Amino acid sequence: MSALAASVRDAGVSLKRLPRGEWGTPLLLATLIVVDVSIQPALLDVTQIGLLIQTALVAVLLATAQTLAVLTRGVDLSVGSVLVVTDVLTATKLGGLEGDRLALLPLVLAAGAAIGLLNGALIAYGGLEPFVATLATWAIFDGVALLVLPTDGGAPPQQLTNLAIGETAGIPNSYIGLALVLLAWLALRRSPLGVRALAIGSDAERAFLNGINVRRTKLIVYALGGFVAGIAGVYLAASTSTGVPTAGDGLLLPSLAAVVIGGTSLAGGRGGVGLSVMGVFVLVFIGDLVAALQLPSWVATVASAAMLLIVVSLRSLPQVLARKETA
Amino acid sequence: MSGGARTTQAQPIVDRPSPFGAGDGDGLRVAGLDKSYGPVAVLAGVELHARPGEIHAVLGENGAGKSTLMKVLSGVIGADAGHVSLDGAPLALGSPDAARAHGIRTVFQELSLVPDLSVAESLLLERLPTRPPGLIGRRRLLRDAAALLERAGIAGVDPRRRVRELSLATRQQLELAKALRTPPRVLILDEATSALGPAESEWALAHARAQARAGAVVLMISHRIAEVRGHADRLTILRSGRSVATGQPGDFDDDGLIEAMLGRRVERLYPERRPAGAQVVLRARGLHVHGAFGPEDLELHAGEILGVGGLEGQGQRALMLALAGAVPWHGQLELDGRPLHHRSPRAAIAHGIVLVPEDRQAEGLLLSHSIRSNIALSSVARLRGRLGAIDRGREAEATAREARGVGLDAARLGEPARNLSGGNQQKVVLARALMTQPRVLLLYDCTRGIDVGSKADIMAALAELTARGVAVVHYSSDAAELVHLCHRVLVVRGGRIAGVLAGERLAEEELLHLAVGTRGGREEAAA
Repeated sequence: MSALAASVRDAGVSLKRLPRGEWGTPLLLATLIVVDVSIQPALLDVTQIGLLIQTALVAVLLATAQTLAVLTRGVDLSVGSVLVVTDVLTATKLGGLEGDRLALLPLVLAAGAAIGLLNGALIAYGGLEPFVATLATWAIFDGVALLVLPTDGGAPPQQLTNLAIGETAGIPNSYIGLALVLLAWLALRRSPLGVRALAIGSDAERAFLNGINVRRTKLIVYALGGFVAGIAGVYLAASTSTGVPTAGDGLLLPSLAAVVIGGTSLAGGRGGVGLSVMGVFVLVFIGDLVAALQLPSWVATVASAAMLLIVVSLRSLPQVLARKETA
Repeated sequence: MSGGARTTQAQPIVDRPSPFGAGDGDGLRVAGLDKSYGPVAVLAGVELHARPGEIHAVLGENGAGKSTLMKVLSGVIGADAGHVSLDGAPLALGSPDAARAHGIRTVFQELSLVPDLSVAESLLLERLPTRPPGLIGRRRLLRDAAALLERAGIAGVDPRRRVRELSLATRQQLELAKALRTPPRVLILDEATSALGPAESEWALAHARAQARAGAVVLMISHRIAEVRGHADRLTILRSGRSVATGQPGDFDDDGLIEAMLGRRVERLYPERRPAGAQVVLRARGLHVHGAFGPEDLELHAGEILGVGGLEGQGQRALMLALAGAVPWHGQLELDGRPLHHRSPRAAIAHGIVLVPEDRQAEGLLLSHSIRSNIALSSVARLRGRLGAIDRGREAEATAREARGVGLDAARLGEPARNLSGGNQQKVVLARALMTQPRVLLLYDCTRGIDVGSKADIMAALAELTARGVAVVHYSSDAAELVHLCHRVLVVRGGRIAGVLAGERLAEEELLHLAVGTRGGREEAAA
């Protein structure tokens, strides 16, 4: 109810410019955290939280990549396939029997960026709809991952694993990873590139009238998304110490759900990675609660979907109300 | 509310020497400019010469090529052939950025402000202020935007607000402020006052004059002939993509201007007023929209065109939306003597009360759909044949009839609405409203920014309607139109009816006096 009240107040005539729904997601997340912690107080522990973030970080990175595409009024269906490509490359090319070749890590990350660049080129210069372009690259690079590593296996470098699941000065590295994602987003939002991307998502024709190179900006944004999704693959391989060529299955929909629950507009131009990160943790805590209550796993799926509907309905409610008040 | 931002002064203080020399160059020359879309030649050998220091008006009917010419000059679209030079030097106008680099600044009719960005971000988007390592300084951004607003003389706009939340008039003012960020060599005003009230229009034109004095070439596209007469030093008339006449405004009388634009004589812009009927169609008692309008009484007769005027943003919008059922209202309404309690536009339409909105693209049209289906959109229920599917034959017949009624080319109904010029798009919205066979037609500034030819067509359609007994409430920001078209005009000020003008007192001067309040409080003249 409080989310609703906040949203309704927000929709009022007052000039305060918090975007609608901005309070809804944090309140929802806070409620879930409070309930989860009250059921399992052991959760309130630096290491426990670190583990939680560690399992969430892959979803956070994919949701970040997804958010970048959505902000430009696009979508990236290929985030999961970028992830598996860098995942299997990490497991087979960076580690393995002949020892670790960590020096090749930049090449693996570049592979992710290259897939993003291909998406961007197809969309910005090839004139394909983002949905179509990334639907194709999704399937193609899922296949490429299976080509590189037909079955689960491989051995990511131990150093990477240590980095992924280790600690720095008593703080789990997963905290640092999450903080870096958020910092990177804040920097992007405050860079001309970020503002241009939002402008294109809001209204590409008007952005063009401002001298913005719409195509180049889209290209860069999708490349950036591929790079971020690629990091997710490296992190997944490192933190699980193995390569799984099918690890991307089932990761696409959560990335989109997190974006929507967070509040980034699918119509582009409004929202951000911070919101999507909250969306990820909403899903994480729902799953955690369902596990804690020892409910069957389908409950988590249904609860996540229900949450999506509720959040989106609550968000559109003030607009429905406000429409009646427009004078 | 649709009011503009406050302007702190009518005369802007842009009294500084131009860095490009004070009007001693050759100015802007356009020679042999061609542009075609497929088989359609939009520009065919356009010639234009505008000197530094002058305000040069470009006039023409819808589809004459004015907007295309401005887009070529702004680097938005490329020409197929022809030359553009500025002070003797040929210009390459490959992109909006390139045009800006040459000092060409454009106030776009469709506005270049991005709706989801803040005012500050939108104003400075072309070149965002950064500091090492390449990030935007938030304080610097706000300070630069505030300085730009102050320099332009716009008060009361918070640079942190989202553009989306601002009224059309305010956005249009911001669009001008944005173009003045750097001193222009060429300032292009594409219908830059179309959404502005009288005071804001004066403000905008004062800016144009100041830029001309500083040595800039000012190109002005306007449909307001009075505005062109009052402010332009010279003018060029386009017709069907060709320049057909150029000279000083004094060289043409109004009929001559219109004839040059249309290539034919228009008997008269405003049709003969027929006497309105005595029967009251719509009666309001204590009509009240919270915080915006009333409480007021009003009566609307069969066959009457009731004007609603006044400065922008005085509550006219609330009045019109209340009558259309689009906002909650209080008081009593009667339609043909029966109480009316409509609470939605849908209910209003069911009672025969139809609103034609102002922003035809945002509120009215589905641009990618055909003209025919746009016209039929509100009447599909009536067009159902057997099995509930739309009867295409009846649809074609009925839409063609309405299209002809408003002066649309019935042969083009299959084309997407996107292909039409602004004036013709407005006719489509009007035809759609008429197709529902309304009793009461509410027009909200529907002639804003459309050309003389389309306007004459719409006026003629209205006259035809009133002859059939339809009652019209017509809000317009154009005082001349109200005075010449309407039987009576309600002047709204501060949410109240400041007076009702009719008969001899129905004159532009009286209207202005009532609108600004220089003439007494409530006056009822032959109400």
